[in-house]
Amino acid sequence: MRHAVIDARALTVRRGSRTLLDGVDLTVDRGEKVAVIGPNGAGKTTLLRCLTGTWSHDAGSVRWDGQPLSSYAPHTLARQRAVMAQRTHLDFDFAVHEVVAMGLSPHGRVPNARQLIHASLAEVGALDLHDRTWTRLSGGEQQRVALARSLAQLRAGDPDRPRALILDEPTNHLDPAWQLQALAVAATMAHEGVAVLAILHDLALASAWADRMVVLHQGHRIAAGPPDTVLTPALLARVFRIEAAVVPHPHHGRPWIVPVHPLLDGAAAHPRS
Amino acid sequence: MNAARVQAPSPPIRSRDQTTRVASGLLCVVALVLGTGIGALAIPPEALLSIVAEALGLDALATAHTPTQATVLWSIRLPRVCLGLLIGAALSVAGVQMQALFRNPLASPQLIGVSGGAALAAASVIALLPATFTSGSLGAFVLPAGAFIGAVVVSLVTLRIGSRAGGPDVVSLLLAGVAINALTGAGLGLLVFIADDAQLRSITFWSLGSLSSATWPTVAALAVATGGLIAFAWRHHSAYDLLLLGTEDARHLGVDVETLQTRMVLVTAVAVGAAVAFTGIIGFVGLVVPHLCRLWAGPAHHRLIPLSTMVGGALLVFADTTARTVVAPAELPLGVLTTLLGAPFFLLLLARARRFA
Repeated sequence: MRHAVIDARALTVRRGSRTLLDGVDLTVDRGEKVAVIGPNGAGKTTLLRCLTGTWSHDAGSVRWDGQPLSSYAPHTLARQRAVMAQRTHLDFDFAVHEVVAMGLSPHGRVPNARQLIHASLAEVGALDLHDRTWTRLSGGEQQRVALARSLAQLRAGDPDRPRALILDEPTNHLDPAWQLQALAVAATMAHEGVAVLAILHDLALASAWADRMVVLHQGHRIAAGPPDTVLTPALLARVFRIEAAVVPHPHHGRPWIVPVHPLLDGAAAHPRS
Repeated sequence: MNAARVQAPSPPIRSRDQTTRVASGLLCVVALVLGTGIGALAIPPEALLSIVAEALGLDALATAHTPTQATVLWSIRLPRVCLGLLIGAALSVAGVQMQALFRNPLASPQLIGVSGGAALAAASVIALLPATFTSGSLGAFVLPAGAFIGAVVVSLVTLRIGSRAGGPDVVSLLLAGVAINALTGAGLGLLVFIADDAQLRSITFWSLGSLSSATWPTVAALAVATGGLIAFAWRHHSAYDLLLLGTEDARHLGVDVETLQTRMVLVTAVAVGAAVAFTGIIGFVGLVVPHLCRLWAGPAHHRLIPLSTMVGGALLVFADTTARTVVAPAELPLGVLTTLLGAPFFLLLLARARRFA
């Protein structure tokens, strides 16, 4: 039997008296694009930390290719999985190509390293940054270079083994064109058989991109499934506290969210004009 | 920097690597020639070559030196220069290593309490043990041994306090180091308070740092410690690059972060402990040399580690040669000189960095 690449069951995380995650299930299969969405403080980042093995969980299980995640050495996982943080905190004057080359380091000596670095930078439209200094890049440029690093890390791995790309708000510092491009690159990776999991804030982007969505709210999994079954006006009101119209996108037909007004307790309702 | 280099970035970089390697090697050779040649008895380069030729059995070429020059070279100058190269290299590479651990170019081995521990232990030996233990040939062994043990023990205590369940926590380690350094400083103050005049003088001179204790056995001991440190750092050079991304990113790129960080502290404690034990405290080398080398060759550790080894060794030999000649026949304390040169240079770097920021 073929196992899901990432398989989390009944994941529960407590820190002190707070329950950050409560019985969350999530699987990502080869070639699948899964988006995790939810309002601030819903437990998205906690979930990601458990799925990557950075945090331990208090109940439930996280499996990688059928085996407990904790049974893998960091070195083994790094050859099959790339994790892109919200922000790369690097305060030293590395050249951009050196930063991308860091993605290759788990693979030892990579014979076509230079081509891989070039191809990865080209894919995120950052080939002209090749010789620039990392610390002098803008936030968006750094984000693209970090994505290129993750691409290089995965491309250098064995394509016959399960591979995963895990992205924490990959579109954060990007302008609209690069937001679309970053997700298109992630979709390409999925097409090559990589399991792709992304935390996304922009509901419209997530809807257009994901095969499946997982909605977190106060540490619970509220809904999961294809975007058109998940993104209903009722869910948007309950979880995201917005009154919104959900209409088919004129181009691809996926649900398109048109926010109308916020439903925040305590905040004065603005008169509609 | 420009579009044309994007097509072929590798040749200029590779040739720059070559230049860097050759230049830093030459720097060491110059340091060796000056360090062995300058002094009360001059040994010019041709005499140096002649002495080496004699040692190699090429008597026909060994005509340009006197027997006194050969004796001075073999028993005084050469061990001292070798010790300088080794100490400079050890302090610099340990600095590189601590800066990778703390992800901060301002970090130095002192942060984990190595020097403080050594100073406290050395002062304890001088002030508390009977004079028979601290003078003569027994003293030449007891004092360094005590300082070394002090350095390692205090570093271990810092590591223990600065670790969580999984391994070292960089912020806790830093704070533990600050407190431990304050404690060893206070302990040192107490010992100074109870010491008599002769002991006080010994403690002061020990803490100012000097290479005057150089002998071949000392060089051999330091060669083992420094060699181990450099081999360890070199083996993990790419992991050090990844550590600069932060512990989470480094782990996701395959680094067993906690194990590596623990070993980095241990290796630094032993190597710097050994260096400090024989020479006292030589400040600012571990801070300034990696900085200089980063300006020269960038932050990537596969260039930084070899370059810091060479530049650190050469600079310390230059400093020592200066220290023992400017006020001859007296000798300026080496630690004072390195700090006198290093600190203003460091402030200059700091001011420049602020202007660019």
